[in-house]
Amino acid sequence: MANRDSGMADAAMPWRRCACSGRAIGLATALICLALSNHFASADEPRSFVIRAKRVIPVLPDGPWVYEPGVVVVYDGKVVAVGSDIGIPDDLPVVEFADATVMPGLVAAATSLAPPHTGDESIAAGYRAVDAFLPRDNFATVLAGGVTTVHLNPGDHRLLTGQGAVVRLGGPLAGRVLKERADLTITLGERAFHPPRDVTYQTPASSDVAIPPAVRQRPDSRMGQMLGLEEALARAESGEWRDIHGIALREAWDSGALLRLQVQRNADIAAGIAFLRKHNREGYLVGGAEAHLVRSEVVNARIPLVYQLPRGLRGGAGDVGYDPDRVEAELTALAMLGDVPLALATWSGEPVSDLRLAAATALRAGLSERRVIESITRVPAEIIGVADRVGSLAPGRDADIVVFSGDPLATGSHVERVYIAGELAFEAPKTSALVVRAGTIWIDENRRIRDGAVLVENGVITAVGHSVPHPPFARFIDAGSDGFITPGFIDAFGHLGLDGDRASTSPELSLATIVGVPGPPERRVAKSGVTTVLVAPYSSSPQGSQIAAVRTGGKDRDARMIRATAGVVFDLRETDPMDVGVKFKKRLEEGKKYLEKWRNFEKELAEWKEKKAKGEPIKVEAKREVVKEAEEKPDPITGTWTVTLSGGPIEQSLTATMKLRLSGSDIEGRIMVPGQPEEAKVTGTFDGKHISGTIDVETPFGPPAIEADLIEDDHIVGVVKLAEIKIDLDAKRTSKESVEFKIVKKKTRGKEGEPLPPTVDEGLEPIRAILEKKISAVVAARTPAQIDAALKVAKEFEVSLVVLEGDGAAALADRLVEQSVGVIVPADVYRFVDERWYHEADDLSRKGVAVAFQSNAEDAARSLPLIGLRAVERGMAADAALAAFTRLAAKMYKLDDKIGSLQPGRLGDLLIFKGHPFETGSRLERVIIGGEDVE
Amino acid sequence: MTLAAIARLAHGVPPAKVALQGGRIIPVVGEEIAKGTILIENERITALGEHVEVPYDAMVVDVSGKVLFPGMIDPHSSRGLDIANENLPVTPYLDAYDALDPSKLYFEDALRDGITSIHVIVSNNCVIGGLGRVVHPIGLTPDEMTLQPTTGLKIGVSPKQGSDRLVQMATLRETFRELKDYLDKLAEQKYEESLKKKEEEIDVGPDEAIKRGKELVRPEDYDDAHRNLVKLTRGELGAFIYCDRASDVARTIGVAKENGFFTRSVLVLGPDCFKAIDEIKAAGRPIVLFSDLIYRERDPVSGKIAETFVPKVFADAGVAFSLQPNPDASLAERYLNYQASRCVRNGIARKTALESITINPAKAVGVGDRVGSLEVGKIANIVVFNGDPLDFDTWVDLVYIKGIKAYDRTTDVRLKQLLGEEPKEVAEKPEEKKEQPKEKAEEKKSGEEDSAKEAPNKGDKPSDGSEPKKP
Repeated sequence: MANRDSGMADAAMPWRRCACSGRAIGLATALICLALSNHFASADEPRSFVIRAKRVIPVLPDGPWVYEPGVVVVYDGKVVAVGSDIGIPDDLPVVEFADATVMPGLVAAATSLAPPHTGDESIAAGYRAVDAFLPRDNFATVLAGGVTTVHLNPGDHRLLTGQGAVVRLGGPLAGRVLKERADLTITLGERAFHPPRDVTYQTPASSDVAIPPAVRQRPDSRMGQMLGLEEALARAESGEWRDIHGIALREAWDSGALLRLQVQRNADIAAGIAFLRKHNREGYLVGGAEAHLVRSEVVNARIPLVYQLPRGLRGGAGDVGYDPDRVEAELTALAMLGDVPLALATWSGEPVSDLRLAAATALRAGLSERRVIESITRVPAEIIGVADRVGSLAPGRDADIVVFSGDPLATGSHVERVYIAGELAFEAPKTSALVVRAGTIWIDENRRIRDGAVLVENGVITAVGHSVPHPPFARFIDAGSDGFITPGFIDAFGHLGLDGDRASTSPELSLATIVGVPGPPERRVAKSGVTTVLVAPYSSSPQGSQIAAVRTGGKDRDARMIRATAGVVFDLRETDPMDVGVKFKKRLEEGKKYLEKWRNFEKELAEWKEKKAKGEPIKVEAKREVVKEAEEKPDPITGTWTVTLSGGPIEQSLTATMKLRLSGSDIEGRIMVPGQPEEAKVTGTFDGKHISGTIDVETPFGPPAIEADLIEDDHIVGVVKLAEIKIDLDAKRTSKESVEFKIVKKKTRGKEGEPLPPTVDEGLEPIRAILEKKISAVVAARTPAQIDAALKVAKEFEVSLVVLEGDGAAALADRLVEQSVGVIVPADVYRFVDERWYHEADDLSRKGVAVAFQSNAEDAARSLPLIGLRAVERGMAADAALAAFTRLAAKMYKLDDKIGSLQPGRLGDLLIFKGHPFETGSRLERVIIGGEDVE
Repeated sequence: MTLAAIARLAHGVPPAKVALQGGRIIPVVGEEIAKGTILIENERITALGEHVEVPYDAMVVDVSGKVLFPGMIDPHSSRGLDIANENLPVTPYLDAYDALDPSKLYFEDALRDGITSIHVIVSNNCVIGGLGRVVHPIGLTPDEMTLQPTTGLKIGVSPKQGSDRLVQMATLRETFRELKDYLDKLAEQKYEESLKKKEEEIDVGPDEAIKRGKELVRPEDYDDAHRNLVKLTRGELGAFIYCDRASDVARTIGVAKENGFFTRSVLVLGPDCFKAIDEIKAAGRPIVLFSDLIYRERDPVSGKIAETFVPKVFADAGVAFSLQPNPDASLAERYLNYQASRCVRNGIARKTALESITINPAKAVGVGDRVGSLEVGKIANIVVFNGDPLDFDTWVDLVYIKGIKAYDRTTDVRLKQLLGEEPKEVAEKPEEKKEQPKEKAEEKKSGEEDSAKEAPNKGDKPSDGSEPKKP
């Protein structure tokens, strides 16, 4: 039941049960579907599924050679339908292979998987190669070469070595032997000459029975080989040869067993053909190195030939030298054989898994690709007699299917999966390697690689060029000659992941905390081609807020983070024109002081290390003050107090614990307010009656002040003042024990005198990074004056600057260029400004200023590529726009070592377009993040 | 040590009644007894339990603090023979009896390790090897040692060394085909002879002659080469079939069923045969596991190594198995009780593990009615451990075979040489032993000299309280 389909299926069409669809489909297809629908009682049939692949090659003599795209339907381990546009039932699982080619499992008609037998007999029809088959062995190395069916050979070292077998290397155990006694294996030629003498022992040995002498066996020469065969046949047929070999020979001969003639030299080929003719038997030749010398006989006799390809794929073939008898196969001979049924096989002793590659070399002999593929699938199956079951994909055949990652005969292809009788017999080990090949690979505005490839390993680009290494089992994407590969796009200022939260962030908060597993918004953005977003809060604090560089795809937070602190944004837009830049400058000054502290520390540390290395004595100044004395005398203040705070803004009175110590007239203590994570320091004075102090807590109004009186023993009453607010304080002492608490004065020196680092200020760390030129300062500015102020500050502190929004930046273009300042243009790239249409991005980029695009939104970032398209349509150069989305944006944020270009060492985030991204008519086909497709 | 026991046989009659009193008894079949007595009379166990009436004339041996365990059984050993394998592939006419060497050190080691019954048979390098025999490790001649004279033939399905599976299977097929041919010829011959006796001529064709002649054939007519094979195919002999690989199991069962000895076959498994667990379970025949209990396999493509503890696979499937010791191993695999304790360590029930070294191998080799457990009526092959058999610091103190004290650790000459000390009354604690070697270094030499003279005088060694004077 051949499934004839016309044309290519439209991939967008949904697959439906035939009966329900209203589409007009061929009658044959309808019949198949009706027949199928009767079978599908339950969806849980174990070996039933559907394969959908880019190409399916069924290897049939008639009908289409390839279905592109193709579908194979397997039910209960047998192929039920093959085609392009066939209806499949909904309840079968579908396995998709976007880039793969599906073929029948390869058939190796000549292998050395079974070692030659160790018997001495020259004619040994009783040996069966099937006995050497161990079905439970692990055949993964052979399956990795795509070979599913093999012929087992009892040997090629004697005249008649036994009966061969055809077995399958997977599938249900019971069904692995396809043919137990497939043929009689005869070897003509030097290999069979000079067999050892045949010795039989009379057992048990006794003095009555003489030990027979060792019998010489034929053949020692070509004269002897045919004579030996004829004699053996005569003896066997007459019935006088009563042992296992004689009886087996007679049985096999009488039942018309196939004759497998293993021959290399032309004389042997001719003799074998003559033998077949004389006895009128079916047979085939294996080897055939000199078949081209007796070409006419081979072609006229139409004897199938299993041609053993030259060896040498592994470690070279070895020298032949001057030996005239040593014959080697030659590829050129293949072309001379006309259309004899030809199967290809590996040379004896070579591993079977090399079959595919060895056959691919036959292309050099001039054989067509079609012929080569047939000669390793259907034709060998026909020759060895199992073509009704394997070797091609047609309804009724066993589901022995191999999935290649690309063109079956290409060197870069490998086997993805092997199914045998519908069971998954082999799956390629997962690697992270990915090779993308395309017609154009965009490097920058001046460089493109034509017909190049990109290799991504472990999420990182490791090679780009005209040809790249492809590690074994690497995934392969062929984007085609119109494929255009670019780096992933960068949204230079977005809010993806904030989920509408418009609060401003304090300087020490990194937005890395909001990054998690990508959800639907991230996916939407990723699928549009934006792979990196510089995430900033909607509003920033006056001291600056951190920007994080985040990828829109990746399996977890660690994979998604590029840099937790990729920049700091300062908003200058609403500032008073008089104060413009002041806060920015002040912050940088604070940062500078902080940086100085650290630099000093590093210097001292280096000096100390030097001193230590030299062995000089180091003065250990333990400037550590720990008040350890315990006051013996109870005094009115020292102890633990329970404080009740009420009134003022406090609705329900709070109870806090306060520990105080009095030394002289100074009070020092700690107060623990419920709800606060830490104790707060309390300092103050006591003059015998009145306590006046402060709680060391930062509030917008300054630290709260305490004014209280010791009205009686162990009882203090007063107020806590906080600007205008007054909170009533009532404290009772619960314990008079002196409380020890360490007054931690910052140790400046450690035990051995080494300098100790200063405290880390999380808020100033980003500023420090800016000053150290590790990241950029992003300044949101709206007027030229603001930009000007920012530029001046940046110049003074020698930091990298990026201008956000920047209306009127064009006016300062030369200074921007001079200070290498980038500009992130607003989302509305083509605006009406000053009574005319203004294309800011184009204008700036022409003036040499680095430009980048932003979304200033969350998943609206998905329309950035469209914004780019509009920018190009309105006049910007396509490559300039592309650079703005990739290289320039990365450079602005000093992330160009990680993203923004297709060069080794960068992250493997790339886009596969058909056509240049900013030409209409181009299409984003796939988005790859970290070497993985974004689904 | 063997010779000491022999000496006793030679110099005096062993006590007819022995009572082992006060020890913990692990009968393997049945519940453990915390403190009990075993009464041995005339080589057999006649009573076993907590309260056993001990006759006045029984020799009472106090084994309090010790553990009484059935003598363990080695189900498949070639070490008692002079060579492990024959050169010829098919030798069904050979018998282990002819090659059994009672002086082999293996038998002495077996006693020290607590093994009281050994199935001696040719090793795996054969197509059809010879007959096997179950022996006790005491006795001067094979006849004295024998417990079960004929167990079965050794058959190998996996290739003999230097051969391959094609030749192996062809040889097997040929053997049985030739046997059929021989039987037909023999029958025909007998019929002709019977006719000749009546002075008649042959009146029927060969097929009919064969049919008629079959009834006339008597067992003594078979020649040596075929006699055992005939018995094998008629189910009169067991078959111990070695399968090296998992794929051989199906083949083995096929050959056995085809040739009529399946119901008496025992599968001796190779290291990876656990993969064919389904077929083995379906076959339902006794199995003997390879002595290496852990199987390691490397995946050819990924390179990962997978480890399997083989007995666990069988225990989980509910298939009873027997363990083999590995006397070549330098580790404790030479001890059967160690093999069993490894099983327990890997999650197998204690009962299963103990059975796999006692009653299961006994049944497999056909002596399960006589040995393998401590039950009334069975032969008194008893091992006295100084602790639980599955503890690693346990050793064998005494071994009784057929009621004879065959081994006593305190008088073990070789052990004394190894540990460098004089044999003592009671085995010392291990810590003290360590201190002794240095001090007794000079005594060691004299000990060696003594041992040379000792053998014949063993019986006269200074007495210890546990050993009453010989009658």
